[in-house]
Amino acid sequence: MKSMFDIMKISSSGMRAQRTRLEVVAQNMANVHTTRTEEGGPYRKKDVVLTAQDVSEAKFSRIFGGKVEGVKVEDVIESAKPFERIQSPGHPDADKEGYLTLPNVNIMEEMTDMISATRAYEANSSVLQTTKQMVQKSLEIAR
Amino acid sequence: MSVTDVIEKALYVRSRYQKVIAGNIANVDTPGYKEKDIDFERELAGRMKGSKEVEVIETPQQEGFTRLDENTVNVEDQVVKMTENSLMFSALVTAITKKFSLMRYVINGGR
Repeated sequence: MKSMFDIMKISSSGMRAQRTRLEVVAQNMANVHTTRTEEGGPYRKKDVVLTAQDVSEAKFSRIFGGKVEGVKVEDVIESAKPFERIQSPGHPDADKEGYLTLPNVNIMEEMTDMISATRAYEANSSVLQTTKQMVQKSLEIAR
Repeated sequence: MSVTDVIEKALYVRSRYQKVIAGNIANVDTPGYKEKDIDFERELAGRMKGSKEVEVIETPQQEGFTRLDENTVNVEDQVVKMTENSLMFSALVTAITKKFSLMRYVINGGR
């Protein structure tokens, strides 16, 4: 039975990772025009780094030699893409030539990222659903 | 080896298979992750012989195209496999339940 809950842990790790991706997308989208940050300069697009990591309990993962893994958000990094510069004299954050540096966030990119995260989240949740059905079914044994 | 034993072992392998699939779907966006699989029949045969090991097969390359992040998970494939796996699991549970109800029938003297 424990093994079944380990499977659910894998799916929940996947859902957590995808939710984090969505959070980062939301943050990027919200800051698409932010020209001031605490660190100075415009907002920098954030990206998540995912790694495969064993999330199950020791005994079960040994059977697979630790090869079957869940996923973990390793880090949230700042994108190194160049900033966009537009002509906007009069803006308080514009430089001497009247150029304003905007965040390196691309709305289109964020949208595709958002859709891909949503779909991946759905896939993980359907695995969770199936696993749950299997557990319920196994409770029917000898009924 | 009795029917109950065989079904029990098959259920065991099916539940492990579900874990492999869950791992693949969770890692659909992990760069460099390779899709994993197990050979159900071979694992079941191994179980019959009393082996405890499960051999995990990795897919080094996806058919057709290669993703830039070198991840080889094919979600559609995995969902199909998952559905098949859970249906087979259900079938096994039904089979073992029938076996038990037959036993109960005999125990009760055919009543």
